[in-house]
Amino acid sequence: GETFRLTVGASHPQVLPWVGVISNHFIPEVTRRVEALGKGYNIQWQEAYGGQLYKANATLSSVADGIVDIGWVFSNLEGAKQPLSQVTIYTPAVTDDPALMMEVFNELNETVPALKAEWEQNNLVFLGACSGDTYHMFTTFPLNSVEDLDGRRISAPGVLASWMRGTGSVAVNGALTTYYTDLQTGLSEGALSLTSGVMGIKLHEVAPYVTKVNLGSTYFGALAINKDTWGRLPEDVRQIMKEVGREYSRKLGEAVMANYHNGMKTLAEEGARATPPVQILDWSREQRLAWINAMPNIAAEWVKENEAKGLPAREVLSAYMNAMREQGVEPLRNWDREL
Amino acid sequence: MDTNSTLQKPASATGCRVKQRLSPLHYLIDGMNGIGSLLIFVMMLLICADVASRSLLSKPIYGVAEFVSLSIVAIVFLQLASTLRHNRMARADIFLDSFIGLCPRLGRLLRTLFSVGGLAACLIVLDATLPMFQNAWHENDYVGVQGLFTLPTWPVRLVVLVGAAATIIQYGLHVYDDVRACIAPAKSQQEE
Amino acid sequence: MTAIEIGSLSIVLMLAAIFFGMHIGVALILISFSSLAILRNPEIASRMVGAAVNDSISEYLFGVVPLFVLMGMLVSVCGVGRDTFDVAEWLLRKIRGGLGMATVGSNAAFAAITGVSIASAAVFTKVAVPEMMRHGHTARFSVGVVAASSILGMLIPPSLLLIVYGVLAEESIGSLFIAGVVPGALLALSFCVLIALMTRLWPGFIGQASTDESLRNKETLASASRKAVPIVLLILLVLGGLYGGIFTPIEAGAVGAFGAFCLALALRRLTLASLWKVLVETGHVSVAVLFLIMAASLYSRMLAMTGLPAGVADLMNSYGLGPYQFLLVYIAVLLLLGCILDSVSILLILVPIVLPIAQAFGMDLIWFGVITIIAVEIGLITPPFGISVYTVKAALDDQSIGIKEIFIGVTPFIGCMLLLLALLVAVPGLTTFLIR
Ligand code: NA
Ligand code: NA
Repeated sequence: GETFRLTVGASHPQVLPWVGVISNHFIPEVTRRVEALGKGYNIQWQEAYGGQLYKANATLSSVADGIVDIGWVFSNLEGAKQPLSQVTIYTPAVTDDPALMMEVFNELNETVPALKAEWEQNNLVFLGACSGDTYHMFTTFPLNSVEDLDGRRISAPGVLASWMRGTGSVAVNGALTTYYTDLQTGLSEGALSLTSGVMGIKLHEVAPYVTKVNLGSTYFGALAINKDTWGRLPEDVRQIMKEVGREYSRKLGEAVMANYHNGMKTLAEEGARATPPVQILDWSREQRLAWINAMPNIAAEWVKENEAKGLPAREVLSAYMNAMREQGVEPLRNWDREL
Repeated sequence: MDTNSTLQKPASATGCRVKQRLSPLHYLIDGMNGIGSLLIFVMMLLICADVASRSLLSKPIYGVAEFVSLSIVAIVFLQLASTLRHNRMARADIFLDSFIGLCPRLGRLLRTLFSVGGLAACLIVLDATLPMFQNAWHENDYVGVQGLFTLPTWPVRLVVLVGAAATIIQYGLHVYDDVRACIAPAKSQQEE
Repeated sequence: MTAIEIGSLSIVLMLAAIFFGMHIGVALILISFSSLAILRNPEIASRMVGAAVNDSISEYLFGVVPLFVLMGMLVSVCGVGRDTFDVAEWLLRKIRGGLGMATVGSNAAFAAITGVSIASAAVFTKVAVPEMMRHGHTARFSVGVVAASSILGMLIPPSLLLIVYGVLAEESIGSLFIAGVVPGALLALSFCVLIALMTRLWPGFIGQASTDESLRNKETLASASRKAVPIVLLILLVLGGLYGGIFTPIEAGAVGAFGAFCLALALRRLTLASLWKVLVETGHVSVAVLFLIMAASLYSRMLAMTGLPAGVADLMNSYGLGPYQFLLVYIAVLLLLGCILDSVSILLILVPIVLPIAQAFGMDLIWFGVITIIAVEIGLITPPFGISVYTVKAALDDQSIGIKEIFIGVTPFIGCMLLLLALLVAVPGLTTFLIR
């Protein structure tokens, strides 16, 4: 039989579900199904996660250049190469369901030519979308309304800074790794983050006010394979990879939500015993609306900038919002209807 | 007399000759080095301005992190040739320095070999960065966030290319000096 | 040739090239490129060089390197360094070897404001080495103390390495920071004890302290206090800002440098010409180090590609070791890797592999992290690839002091660190009592 050597990589460690599911599910499942074909194909995997081969700033180029054959691509840091794939970070509070988000983007990346092209033109083939749990606020002060954010310094790096626009707060740069110290010293007074992320760094020790603001889950990247490698694989193996790629998204959805629920459970149980005790607050639709409507229409700005470059941003935005509404989602703000 | 002391002591006879012959190149290397030094100072001022603006005016300066992350690569390649010229590249002098003292010709030959290695390494860097520069130029590659701030990456890729080229030339000068000293060791020693 | 064989050969070649005196960055790039070209193909090898050169240090984090170096240069050019040492010497004037201890002590204080060891190494090479040599200490002892005590920069919080470990192990970075305080203080203390012992038992190594009248400390309480003002102001600025929540550890480098700049202007010790000299010097030191980090990251990527580090871990797994045997082998591997790789790369490669094993043994992961960091930090000062040693070399004004001298100078301190490591392994409570 034929032997294929495939290198798999990621800029982040396996403790993160979107990396862990690659080695726990994608690889063994592809191996199993390829063996089951009975054609004598043999895949030799080599795995290198945790930034051993490249860092978060080079996830796309490393797969595209063939440094690895298969890898997790962090699209949110690839705005220049994948401008249209950024759509969900300019449209907060559409859905809190990462599984649905991934399902929608697994579909859109096949049916919307402009989105598909953002993989193909970069010498990549899309295998399965990645998404995380919804964004919440973790603060050192009680957060009862969006007005409470006025004048506060909030850790919200990169694009998240635009979610703070209109709230009167100051977006502070940083990373998951610096939040704990930043909040401890008072450099920032809160963080806009994923529950699964902040549980790993025990942020509640310094940010006892957990507010479920539900600013939504985002589509932030995908598992992808180098196009040249793809071309070398037999048709039936490609078919298996496509299928398992979709399954990767489904497993990821389960893992992300399991982490989220565990995190919330830990916050409730351990948090009650902690000093100071953790207080979890669930915002109502009205409280959330106040924030989301305080924001300028960042989606409209995004459409305008990209249309100036000749990109079909308006079409991508509507395709995405329509797909969500067809799934029964009621977005907190219909970003595409304010253009 | 090795390249570095030659370059650092323009008062000596060879130094003057070498300096005159190579002056445009030295302007380039010193100039790039100067820009790199200024960039460090600007980086300091910009970060302080961000801290001040954030705490006093409640207004962050977007893109400081991105500016620093690009600048740091630029600084390395703006100053690499100068670092080499002033003999500050990290190396172990356990063996080579005493070997040159004991056995000048063979020692210089070995050092020539190492300089050729340096030249080759920079050629590899140049060759590897060229497509990255073209890509960044044609596709308007940037870092940052659309709507808040963006910085193009092509200037940094260009600096890497120019810096690698300048370092190649500087390694070439080292080779030239060592080979010349190997061919005429007596003459070279007289000059020292 | 198998991938593992290529990896092993690349280590031998790298050690030889460094020993014979090739520029280390160059050796790492050439060997990595050739190995990758054989492992995969020349095209991929070239792309990996491009990625390492353009992306590996392109992070906000690495901005601290030139900024802390600049801060050190400014502190040194405006004479504050010398003043600090006058004060430290005055404080420790009754103790033999006091100046060496002053170097350790001020390094420990400086460690509280910097998160990277190379910053400490660069600053105190400028500040302490000339002072110690002026007072009659040998070159090897002077540079050795500086290189060794620069280690404190990443053991006493804030620390880049503890942050990296915290991320990999999903442990609280705040707890890790607190856990680093006692081992850091113990290490500083044991360095002082070592200096005191060497002063008595091995005076030839550290050099005769000069009896020259002109060098005798003529400070009074008043003059020493006056000299202490600038450095105290600077530490207050950085520590106050850092723990008062005005700026981050990364920004502290810039604020500290700006503070030193203002101080130098206020003391009228900075001309345009000397400022320019400082900036050029800062560039040369930072570039030498950053180019090395760049090349080292390419090398570690190549090694990861060969599967050698994972192979070593598998081997460890397959022997079915007990907890202490496991720790012994683990520390030995860390020390060996410390000879050839940079600290962050070692953590990236090894920690994800050993964490499940440590967890299976029921080890405290905070304690395990501190053990890991100390073992990795020993690698900062071991030959042939000891980045703190090369930083000291790059920052030295006196270029006649060779790399070999520095490596000889740090050797007694390596012994000291190994003893402390053994103590921390035997008594986990020393690390954990503040947090558990
Ligand atoms: Na520190
Ligand atoms: Na070492």
